[in-house]
Amino acid sequence: MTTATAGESRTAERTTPQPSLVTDSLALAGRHLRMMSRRPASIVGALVLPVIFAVLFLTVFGRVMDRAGIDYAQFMVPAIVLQSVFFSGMSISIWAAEDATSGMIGRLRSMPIARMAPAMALLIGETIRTVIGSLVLIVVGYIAGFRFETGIVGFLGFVGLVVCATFAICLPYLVLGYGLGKTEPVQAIGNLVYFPLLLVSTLFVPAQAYPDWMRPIVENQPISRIGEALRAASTLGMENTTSTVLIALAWCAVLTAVFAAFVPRAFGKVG
Amino acid sequence: MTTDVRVMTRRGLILMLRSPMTVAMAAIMPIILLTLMSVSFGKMVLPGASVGEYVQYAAPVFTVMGVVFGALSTAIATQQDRTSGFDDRLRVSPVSAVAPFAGRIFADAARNIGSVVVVTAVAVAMGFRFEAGLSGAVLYFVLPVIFGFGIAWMMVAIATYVDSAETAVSSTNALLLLLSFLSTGFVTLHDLPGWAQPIASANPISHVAQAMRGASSGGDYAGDVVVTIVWAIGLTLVCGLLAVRGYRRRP
Repeated sequence: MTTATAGESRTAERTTPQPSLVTDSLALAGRHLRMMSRRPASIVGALVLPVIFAVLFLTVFGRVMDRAGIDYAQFMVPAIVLQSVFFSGMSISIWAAEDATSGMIGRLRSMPIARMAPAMALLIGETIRTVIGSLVLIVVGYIAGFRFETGIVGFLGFVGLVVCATFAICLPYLVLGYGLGKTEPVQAIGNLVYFPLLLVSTLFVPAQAYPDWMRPIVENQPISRIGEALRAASTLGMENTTSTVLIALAWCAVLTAVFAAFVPRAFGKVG
Repeated sequence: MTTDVRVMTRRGLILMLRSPMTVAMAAIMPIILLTLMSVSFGKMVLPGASVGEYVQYAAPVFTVMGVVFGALSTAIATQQDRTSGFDDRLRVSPVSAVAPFAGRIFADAARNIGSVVVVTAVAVAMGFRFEAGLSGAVLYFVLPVIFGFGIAWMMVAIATYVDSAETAVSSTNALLLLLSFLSTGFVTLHDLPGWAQPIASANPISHVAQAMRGASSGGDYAGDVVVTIVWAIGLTLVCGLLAVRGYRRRP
């Protein structure tokens, strides 16, 4: 009798699902990274395209900026890093839409895994991709003359800010991807958001380049703020470093909190 | 052959009408870049100039970019025909081997005319003016469409040889970015670093942009017009032959 019950409870233990958000997310994040590494478009978007943009911006606008007294390599690396964060955002929205249409999410829902693991996995995978891509861009920047004047602490702060920015930018795109569930409109809307935020900012040109009435908008929009914080983490001699970083972190926290709240809703409506 | 091409052109146009999003993006992307980049980079590139003066300089390159990047959807569509079985169906029918490509490209030319007109309208609203008379203005609209015709043949040829639409897009996207930026379209030749200047002078997009700039703002631009037309004819002949050869050869 006793052996039988022990056996039963062992079977029960073995068959009762015990989903864990951490292990399930990590397993699916591994899937996401493997799938990206097998898709040429993902590798190009993560590693090649940002490097091409870095070289092009330095080449085309380097002399013009020099004339205006700006060391463009030092100025532009944070901008290119943030641009690659946006590329990760577009990537997460497309993968989310593909998972939604391909039936992958339906299949996962029928299995004993943590409910939000598929969404977490995309975020973890894209964060890893962004950090790797940023390191490549920093190496390219070093060749062009970019330096961490702030030393190792500045470097670590820079990477930390990149991770925060990835959450703040990828989560809205994740909501978009699950919410619309079709790659074409997701890509179109993603682009419409990305260009104004990226180009009408202090990322690629200083605020003085804009007409006076635009400056308050340009300087205070979140992407400019995060870019300035990345600059503060890499370049010495900037004013109000602490408040610059704090404002950027506040933007990241607000964006992350708001859109993280929408993810379960958008995810729940899939299928 | 003419009938075949006509039927295929009609098909291309109908397909475009059914995906209005793709067609709209062909015009919206260059407009976004034109407005945003003129506002942010204009003052840096031409110190002391207004946004309108920079648009007068740079509008041509944004217009050409619209045509050139619009051709990416040509590559995607050609690739889709290969995977969907449409190609196979045509090949067992008595249809000219040029027709499927030519039809698609004529339909694209129609889309390019639309995108050039819309982008130019926005540029005019931002301060762009035709200062070189009516013939210059006509030339300004015709040149990018002619050049786009050659580029479309290049896209079709690439799509005939690569295995997936994604590879076609991601490889050509990078190439087109390099061509668009390493040109005299955004900044003047002497503002580029020494190593990039010979590339920019040889770049066909520089010639198209210079020819269009001449046609709108005046100056000596006959040479650039000739180079643009030679590029378009060259691309059409070489890539057209490659595309038809790849199409005939495939098992």
